[in-house]
Amino acid sequence: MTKKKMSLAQRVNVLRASVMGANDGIISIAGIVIGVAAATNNSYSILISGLSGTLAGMISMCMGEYVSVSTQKDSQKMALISERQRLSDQYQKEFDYVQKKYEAQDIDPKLAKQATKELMDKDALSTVVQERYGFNPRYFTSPYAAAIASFISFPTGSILPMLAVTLSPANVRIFATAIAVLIALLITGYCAAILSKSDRLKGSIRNAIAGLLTMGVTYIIGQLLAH
Amino acid sequence: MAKKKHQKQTMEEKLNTLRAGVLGSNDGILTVVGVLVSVAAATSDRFTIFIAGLSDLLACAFSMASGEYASVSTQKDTEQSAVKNERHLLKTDFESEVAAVKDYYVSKGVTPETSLAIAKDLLNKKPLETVVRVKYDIELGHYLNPWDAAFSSLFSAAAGGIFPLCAMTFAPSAYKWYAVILAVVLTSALTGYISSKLGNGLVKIAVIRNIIIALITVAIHYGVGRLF
Repeated sequence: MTKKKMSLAQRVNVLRASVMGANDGIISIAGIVIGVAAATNNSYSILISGLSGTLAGMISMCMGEYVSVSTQKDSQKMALISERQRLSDQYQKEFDYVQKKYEAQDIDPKLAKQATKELMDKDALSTVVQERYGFNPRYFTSPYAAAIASFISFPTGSILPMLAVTLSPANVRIFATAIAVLIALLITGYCAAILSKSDRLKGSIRNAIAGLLTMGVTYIIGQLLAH
Repeated sequence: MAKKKHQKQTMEEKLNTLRAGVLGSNDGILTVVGVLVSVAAATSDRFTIFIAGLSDLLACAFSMASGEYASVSTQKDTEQSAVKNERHLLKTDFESEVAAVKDYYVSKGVTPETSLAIAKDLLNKKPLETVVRVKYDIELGHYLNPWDAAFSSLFSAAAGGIFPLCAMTFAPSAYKWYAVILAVVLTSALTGYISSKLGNGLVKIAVIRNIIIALITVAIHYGVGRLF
């Protein structure tokens, strides 16, 4: 049971990360190239900005993931240390805390007390840490699968707007890129909706609107600065 | 439809949101500085550098915000389909639902007898909430507002990225690199400080870690920009 639940949670996590990564890649690079293309006609500048944006996105994603994972690890370490202390100083208080948590789930107080007693006798530290901080010190979910997924999907997504802006003729560059990006966003939104079993139409339209908004804002800013 | 009262976020959830926001700012800082440095290493045209940085700032903020919006909304959709599923199962296969709840408590370490008693008790009182919580780890009606999530990441990413961009734009030419690096180091240190204050109190480690990460990022971008 536990194992099954873990893999489900992990799957959702990886899924979420790769969808967000690809979307991120498409939307943010589209935003950059369209903003720059609106401001200047220089193809070299557009290309350089797109490539830099892709690289910056990948690196900051890596670094961001590293920072948040380490921060989380630190918090968990601190939680274990302070909980160990509290268990030895005030066992009864911790016991009551867990019991309250179980009663809050609407379990009959008598049963809650019985369950708490069983849990605390078995593994007091894991139990209290789970209830207080929401993680189980016996299982650590590896964050790397999710990180790798978005690290791959981000540049994959970013290829599309870059190709569109580089390959299309200069006079329709912005328009062509916007269309290509919108189609791609409809597709990623649709896939995400299938995978998470949510409303497909809503998911894809939502995604396309987000992209349109981003490109619109950077386009306007680029235009304003061009004159 | 389930009754969906919009419960208030707990303190813990609020702190989490805040911390996510701070980490989002860090993302904004690193992306914008990355674009500035690698574009600037490839070209000396200040206009191109500025436009690229600004577009990246906006694009990064918007893509983060829309990603956040989409993921929170997806959670909501997942919740809805879970509720539909479970409502059906509760009608057609009540025994297996009892077993699922029982297994959940057994896996936590409660004895089978007590778990069974709890399962029966809970499924009597509020069957739907219980199975959804146990099977999907979802508290009914306890999700974030997607617009809140989107605005807070939009704001935090933009807030982070604006510092290096300003340093690049307003510092005198001769000192602009020092200004950018200084801005990045200071803001990274600040985000490290705030996030660890909110989180676990390991301030020194977090600040140093963030500064080192920022410097590595700048160095990588500089190296890559030189290749063009």
